[in-house]
Amino acid sequence: MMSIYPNLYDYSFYGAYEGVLFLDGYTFIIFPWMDLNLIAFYATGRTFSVEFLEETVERFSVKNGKLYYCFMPDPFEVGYARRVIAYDINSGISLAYHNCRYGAELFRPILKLDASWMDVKGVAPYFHRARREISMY
Amino acid sequence: MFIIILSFFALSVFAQDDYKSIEEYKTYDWIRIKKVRLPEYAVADPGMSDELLCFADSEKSKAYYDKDAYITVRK
Repeated sequence: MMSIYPNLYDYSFYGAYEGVLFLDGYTFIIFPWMDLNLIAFYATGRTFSVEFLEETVERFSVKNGKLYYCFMPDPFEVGYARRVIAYDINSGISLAYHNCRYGAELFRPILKLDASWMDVKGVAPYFHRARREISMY
Repeated sequence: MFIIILSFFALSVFAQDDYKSIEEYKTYDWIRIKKVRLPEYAVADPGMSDELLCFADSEKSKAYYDKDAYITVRK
């Protein structure tokens, strides 16, 4: 599966990027999806420094709940709308955020509910987990 | 059926946005540059090479295409 992404380092859902491939003026970034199987590629032995964009803003995470992460299409591209739904297991409170677009307002709450159970730090692992959960959903 | 078609149309309208270039992203204060050293790979199968270039060419006409953008290959 291939897609053009806006060079964001966070897009490595399944671990670190595996390698870089230069082909006819294009730069391809290779990373494993389900399991590593690089039959079509071989390592040249050289390494290159590749620049990625990294967001410095803090996102939110869930202490006692689950985070569902919806987007369309799959894989999503820059500018497309995404929706993040956080659900607290204990209280049953759910919060939905949308308009999570790069370059636009990062998160805009749809429902203003009690958000005290949410944490704004260390969201990256939850995003990865949510990605897997939504794929089974 | 009509509602489903209408909802997809509404979603496509909602999804439209002004696409920004990589260079423009670099100017934002909420973006920093992260340099990662990665091993270089080469294509073993010429057929795979053709597929990669075919995909890149097909994306050139898209609004979000940026010549500085990396193309990710998930396997």
